Amino acid sequence: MGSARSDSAPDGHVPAAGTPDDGPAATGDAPLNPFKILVAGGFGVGKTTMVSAISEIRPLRTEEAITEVSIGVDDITDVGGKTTTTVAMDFGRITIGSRITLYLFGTPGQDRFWFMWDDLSYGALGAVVMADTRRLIDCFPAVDYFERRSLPFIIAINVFDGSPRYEPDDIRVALDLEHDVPILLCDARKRSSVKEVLITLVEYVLANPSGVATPVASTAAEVSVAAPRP
Amino acid sequence: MAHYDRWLDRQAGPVVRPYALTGGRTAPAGDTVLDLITVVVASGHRPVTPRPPGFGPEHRRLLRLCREPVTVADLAADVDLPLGVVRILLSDLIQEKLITVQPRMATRPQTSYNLLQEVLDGLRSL
Repeated sequence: MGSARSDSAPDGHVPAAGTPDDGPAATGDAPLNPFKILVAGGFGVGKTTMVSAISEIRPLRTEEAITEVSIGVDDITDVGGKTTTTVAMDFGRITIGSRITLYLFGTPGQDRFWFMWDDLSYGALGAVVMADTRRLIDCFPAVDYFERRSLPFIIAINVFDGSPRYEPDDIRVALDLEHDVPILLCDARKRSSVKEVLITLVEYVLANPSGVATPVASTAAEVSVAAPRP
Repeated sequence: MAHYDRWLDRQAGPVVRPYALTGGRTAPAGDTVLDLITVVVASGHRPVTPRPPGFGPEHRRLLRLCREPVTVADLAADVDLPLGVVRILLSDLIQEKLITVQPRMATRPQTSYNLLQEVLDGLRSL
């Protein structure tokens, strides 16, 4: 990860970039419609892998005030009496046509970064909760969070070699999910599989009248299983 | 010389502490909400001369990048500064009326059905 530094020389000299002064040519009118999808789940479940399988990953980090719980755990910096920590985020971008951009944000996997979730989920279209059947419990907090916020989410079981296979219905029971929450098996390394996951989420949001302004005839979303090809 | 080089290495950490760029402020000016995918764009107003105190090279870099509508997250990635710092610098530009925030068309629950359908079609044709 890059360190924080200014690319401008210390003397304030700014490299010439087209115009000699700051004069911004405001174009302004081109509509830009960003959509945000969160990729959540426990530490090491494959969030970074999923985001990078389908989009160009860009470096994004934040410095956030942290609670005392994290002191001694994180590399902390004291800033004007406030204690902050640097958190790197997975951030991917998919351009769709000329006017829509889909942004994928991986949520930080560790519990101590919970404070960032409200910010990340603000205005989000929905979330993919990634789960690993060997450590299913790791995705409970994400499921709880999105249920409480009524943010539409789907479960994507990242199938690792040698991990136990369960039927989606077993997982539904284990996670105590509503009957209509889609559960898929996926391979986070494969673009086609990740694409299927995102399509399932957007379909689910479209079929969920609370998620969109225009109500649509909603049929109970069936459990779809995008079986990863071995 | 060798000792000097060691300190100028990237590994040595930031040359300037990130919040030094904001004059030590850790909260944005004003009450505009700048979330990750808020779209900002240059207003076309020219910065006043002399510039307000605290208006630095990073403000100018951001302003240049705002010629086209761009999201806060993209800007933070472009300038390689922490998101919190970028938010504060952008809030300064908003206060100076140098950039404006584009109204969000696609937030839940007002999300337009047509746009979502476009997202779906776009994903399918990826």
